[in-house]
Amino acid sequence: MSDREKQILALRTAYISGIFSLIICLVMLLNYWQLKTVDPLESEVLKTMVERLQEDTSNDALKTEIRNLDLMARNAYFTNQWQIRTGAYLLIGGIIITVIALRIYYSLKIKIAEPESSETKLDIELLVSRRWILYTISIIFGLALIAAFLSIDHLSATYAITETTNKKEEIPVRQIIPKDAVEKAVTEVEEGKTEEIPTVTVEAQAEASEEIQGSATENDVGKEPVETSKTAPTKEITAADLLNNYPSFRGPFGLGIAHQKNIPTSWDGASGENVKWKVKIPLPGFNSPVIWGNQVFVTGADNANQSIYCYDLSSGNLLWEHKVTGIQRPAGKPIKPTEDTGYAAPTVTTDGKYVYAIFATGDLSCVDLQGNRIWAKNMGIPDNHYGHSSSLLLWKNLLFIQFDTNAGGKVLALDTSSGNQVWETTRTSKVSWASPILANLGDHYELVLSSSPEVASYDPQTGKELWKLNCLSGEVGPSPGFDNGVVYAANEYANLVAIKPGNPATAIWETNEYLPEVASPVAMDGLLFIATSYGVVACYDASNGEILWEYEAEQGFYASPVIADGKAYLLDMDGIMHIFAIDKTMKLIGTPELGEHTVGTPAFAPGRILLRGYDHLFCIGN
Amino acid sequence: MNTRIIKILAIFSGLLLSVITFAQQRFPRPDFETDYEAPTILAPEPRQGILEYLDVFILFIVLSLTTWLILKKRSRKGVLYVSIFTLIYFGFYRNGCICSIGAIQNVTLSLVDPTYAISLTALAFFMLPLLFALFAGRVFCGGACPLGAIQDLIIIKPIELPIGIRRALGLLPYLYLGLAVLYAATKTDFIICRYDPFVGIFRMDASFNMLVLGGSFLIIGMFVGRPYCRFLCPYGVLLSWMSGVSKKHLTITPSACIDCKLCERSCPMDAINKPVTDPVSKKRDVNRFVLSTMLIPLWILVGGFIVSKSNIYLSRANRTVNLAELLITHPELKSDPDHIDIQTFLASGKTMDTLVEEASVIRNQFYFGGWILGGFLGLAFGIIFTRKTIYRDRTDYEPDKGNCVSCGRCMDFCPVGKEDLTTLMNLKN
Repeated sequence: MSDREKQILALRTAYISGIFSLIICLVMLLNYWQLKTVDPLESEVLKTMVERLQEDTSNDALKTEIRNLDLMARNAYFTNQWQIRTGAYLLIGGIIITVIALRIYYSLKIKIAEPESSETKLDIELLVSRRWILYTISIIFGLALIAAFLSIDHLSATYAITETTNKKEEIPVRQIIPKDAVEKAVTEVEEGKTEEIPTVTVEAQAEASEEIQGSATENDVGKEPVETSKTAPTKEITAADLLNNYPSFRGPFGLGIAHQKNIPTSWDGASGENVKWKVKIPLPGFNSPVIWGNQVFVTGADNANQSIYCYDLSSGNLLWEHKVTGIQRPAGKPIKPTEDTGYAAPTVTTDGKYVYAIFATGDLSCVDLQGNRIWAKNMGIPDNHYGHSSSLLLWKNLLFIQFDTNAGGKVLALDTSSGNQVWETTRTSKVSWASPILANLGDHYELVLSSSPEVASYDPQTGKELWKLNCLSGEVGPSPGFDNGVVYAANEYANLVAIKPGNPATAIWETNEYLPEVASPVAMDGLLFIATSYGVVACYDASNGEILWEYEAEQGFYASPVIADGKAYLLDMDGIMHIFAIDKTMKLIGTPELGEHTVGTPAFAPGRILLRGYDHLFCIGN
Repeated sequence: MNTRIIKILAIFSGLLLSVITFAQQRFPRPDFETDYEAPTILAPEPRQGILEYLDVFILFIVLSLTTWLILKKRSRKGVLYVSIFTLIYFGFYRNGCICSIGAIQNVTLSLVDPTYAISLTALAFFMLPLLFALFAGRVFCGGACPLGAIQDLIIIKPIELPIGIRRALGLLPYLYLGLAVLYAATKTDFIICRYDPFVGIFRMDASFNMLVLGGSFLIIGMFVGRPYCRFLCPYGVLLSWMSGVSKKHLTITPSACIDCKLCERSCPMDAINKPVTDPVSKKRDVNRFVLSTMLIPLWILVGGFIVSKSNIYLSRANRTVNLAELLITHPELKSDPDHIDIQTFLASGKTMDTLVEEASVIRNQFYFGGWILGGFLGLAFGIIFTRKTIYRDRTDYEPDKGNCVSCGRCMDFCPVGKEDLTTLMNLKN
């Protein structure tokens, strides 16, 4: 065979084997794409059938069907694996033949090139080399530098340990809005009705600030407050005052029911639709907003700073910031709450005269509505491995604090105007992160607390334990719910219990399906809503615990559900609000998106919702 | 005589290889009574101790044979056959592991971690090619590297890359070497092994992306000679250093070059230095060289500063750092039952504080390692740049000692010393 004939043969072989290899390659790519889109091992049909079988375990026909389908899926999978293996061998064989054929073809075709007469210009070569080397180095180092400066070091911003100081400091009160604006500030208690809030001039504020000096000593910790106000005793708050505002975590009395109307049901954080304003909160915190009149209160804190912020509900302007400092703390290891709790997890409470805030450090502060400190004290550093989270609650002239730690539990009541302790009751509970509620049982109120192992009730005036029921376990995060004389308590991996208060308290029903980890249950009109951390919303019949409907969201819920304006508002951690009608059948009204991660529970004002994301406070309104 | 020695060695090796098939596994797999076939595993099975030393012995034999074929026999065909054997044995049979390129990481880890015991095999795989390179040039690349072999066999119609592209891409192996050492030293990852484009082909099993990467390198390799060896291989950096000062090296001509220019286009790897005769101002050359040399400390400082500042994103390849940052930025993922890493961490009982502390320590290691890596890169780039200011007279066609992979192709094009020029004449026309 001549070289020419060998060349032709090699070329033809290369063509055939090359086309063959290409076809095999395309078939394998198709096979790969097919497996990606329809994985026989992840059959939705099979999953559905298994779920049906779990509800009806005695269905033999279904079992047979599942086995047959499973066998088909396995056969499909192994057939697919065989196809891939065979295809790989064929592809490699085809490529080898192609390469060999091409090499033979080119080796027969190769000619020694005619030597060129031109000579190498070394200086040009060196110049080009140097330039390209410089360009490449510049690109490599330039990109590295840009990437370095754009990178955020999340680690170092989080766990710097600082020491508390014993310095005496003037209490800083930062007046953000000019005096004129403060004097003109009005509140809307209801739509169409306005009420002037008390105004304080800058000079009077300065005088008040001078009167208040930080002079705490170690003995003051946990006992008498650091500072006292010289203001006169204030008018006692009424239930109507609380219902007309949104004064604490989960609204009036902590029940998860808002009484405001015309609440929006659609918005879009990304485009700004129905977003009245959005402000960045300087310090982080997982507490929820609280509203009184035209003022919105939140707190923020990190390992070195603690602040109470007041925003104008209408404009979002920061009215004032009160830095909570100068409070003597007991000696001991500094607090290090976990990252998902932080230093400002508890929500503030307000009675329209003062705002009360507590932090993970145990610092408790009372300021007036202009941000001036009234009193402050440290409750003792909470021995809490995640960080203190229980929010404050008040009623009349009493401020309630649920203080369950690893060193023991207690509930206290302080005088709102002075901070002096009125009563304290030791509990047999373990550490918890739930918040107290006030249940109105017609002729009296009861202060109800959830923890492990008990749900307990106390007389708000005296702190006397009225009843308790051992029905929970684990690390209790959800607070109780209450409706129509029944207390509802729940915790993940434990129970959902409906409790009839009394001595003794009795469990009306209990179930362990769909339990919340953090979000508190809410009940109204015979329906009980549960939001789980794995994305399920369940509506129970509050009278017997029967599940009426379920809904699955793509993200879990940490924020507690709130019922407002005849609808249930449930905010998931992706910032999507799932709005349902209060109905025995599931009616999803909308799923507006905030565009920011959230764990805070919404707050409500007439025609407004206040939502706190990880970084911003949003005001939503039509 | 030489042929007899080769035959004896071949028979001996064959006998030893036959032992392998019967003594592969330390613990034999259970016998199934049904037709069940055990699935192939992704990672190669551990070797029996004696067989690991056999691999070292075979490597030594292959290196020695390639050296003889290049320096004495001057046979391109011989080197080709050795390459095929290397591809079959070290590539497909041994599944590409252990290899000299990845051994860089084993050596690095053994230097920084006193609890890590490097095996003698890994050490031998690392040292032997370097020793051979010191005395005979990059014979490892020519005949003993399976990655080089597969690329060498796939060359069909090589093109000459523009010099600027070659110089630019030629810096990447230094970057890859530095990163590989940094990640190995911080116990983050063995990136050379993870991103080896051909190991999936050797093992007939890899992720889709790695198969695409390997396939791409092979397709490119049909037209650009040995792209991985020239523009990525980190071990090639060390070999080029050794080869650059080697006592002996492949030569195109067996004696004096007659400047016939027949070998000018013979090297697919563009590793032939051509004669230079045009006059250049030597004084300007010296000034440029001095200035460039004086700037090297600045290169080192700048490089060290930039790479040390890159510790934040570089350290994110570390699992501990990545997990800590993930939990900090997305604490809601703790409730995701499908996230295995997070669920494992939560079940371990380790606190977030501990995790963040460990991550911070690792990030600091990256900071200090970044200074070293950046300094090394600055030094390397500075030296490479400085070398391009040096004018060297050259009258003969010579292989570039650092870049030449000793494949031997150019030797077939040189007419000097050839008794039979028929083949050459046939090649001409």
